[in-house]
Amino acid sequence: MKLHTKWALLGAVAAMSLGAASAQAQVGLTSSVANVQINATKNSVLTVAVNSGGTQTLASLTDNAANPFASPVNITTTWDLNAGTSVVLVGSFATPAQALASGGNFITSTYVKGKMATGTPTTFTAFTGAGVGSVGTAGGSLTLFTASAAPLAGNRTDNLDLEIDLTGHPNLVPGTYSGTLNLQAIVQ
Amino acid sequence: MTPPRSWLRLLLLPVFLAAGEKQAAAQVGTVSTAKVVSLAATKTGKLTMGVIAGAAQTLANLTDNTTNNFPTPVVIQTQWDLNPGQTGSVNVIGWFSVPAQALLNGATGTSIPSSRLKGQLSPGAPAPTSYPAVFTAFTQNAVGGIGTAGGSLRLFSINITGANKTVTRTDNLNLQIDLTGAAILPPGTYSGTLNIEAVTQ
Repeated sequence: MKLHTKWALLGAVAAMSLGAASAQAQVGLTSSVANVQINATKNSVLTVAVNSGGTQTLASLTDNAANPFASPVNITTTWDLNAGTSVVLVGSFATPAQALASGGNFITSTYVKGKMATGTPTTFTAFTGAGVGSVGTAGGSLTLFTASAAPLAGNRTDNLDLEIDLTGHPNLVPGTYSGTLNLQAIVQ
Repeated sequence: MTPPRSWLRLLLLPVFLAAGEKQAAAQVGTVSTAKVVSLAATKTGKLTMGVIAGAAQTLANLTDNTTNNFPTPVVIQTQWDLNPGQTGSVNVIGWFSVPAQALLNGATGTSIPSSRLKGQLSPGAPAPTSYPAVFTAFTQNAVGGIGTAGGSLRLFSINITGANKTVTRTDNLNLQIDLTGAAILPPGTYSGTLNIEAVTQ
């Protein structure tokens, strides 16, 4: 009997040892690794917004004098870039010889002037410059500011004052002269 | 010569029979030594998981200072066949190998850390014991040796019982890049790999 008891005990211990080994086998069991590929794109931003003054009106245009518009064009330029050294804001007329038109009569961009106290033309300057890059027209443009693109994300708000300077133009045909000034920014 | 031999055989036969009977009687109750045949059959536990949809996640327009949700979920299927007496729980972990650079813009070297990537589980049935019901950052530590420190998220944990010892379940993992309060991110494409793995505990 004693011998049988010893064998039974040994068997029980062995069985318990095997059981413990099996139990450990299912803890820490891992699956294979699955992958999810993630791509997220942030696009570059360069925008120009006219906050106010999008419509400029002069009720009484006077020959042979400077005719300033009453309120400025308020412009916000925003950029968020990954390259570039400067942001340039350009104002231009598509057809410089016909910046403003009244039927068959025109005011050329030579007589339209802009001034940006926080920008490049700090005194009234005619829209007679060249374009910048692909922006603007030859002889009908005015660079309003050149800002550093460092940091690559930024924004600025400027006031553009406009005038029609008819100094030296004594006899403009009466009428309502209308035109469009284009404002566009470019990264250089 | 023939007759005496026959008689001799007849005379000796009872003697042999008697002797054989005595021998047979002596072998009744004799046993051999016991021989043991060991039997062993192992059914190993099974644990697999795979992404059955949404393995490529794309955001076309990442926006600063806000949450950016990926449009479709990652659909995860997990299967197991386990001994409930030997397994406490099944856990599925998602993690990024380099938490500081979960997504990388190769052109600029700029990265989005895993703290900006969040996951939220829409669980299948039966409901797990625990899971991220709201968008939660991949900033947890590894579980059972699976994952990376500070770059992991336990997607679900479910206790194993007799009722769920053999299961195939499907869960939807929604992903988000949360740039709320982050510095302005340089434009570009940010790419990375989310690893998902299951482990028993």
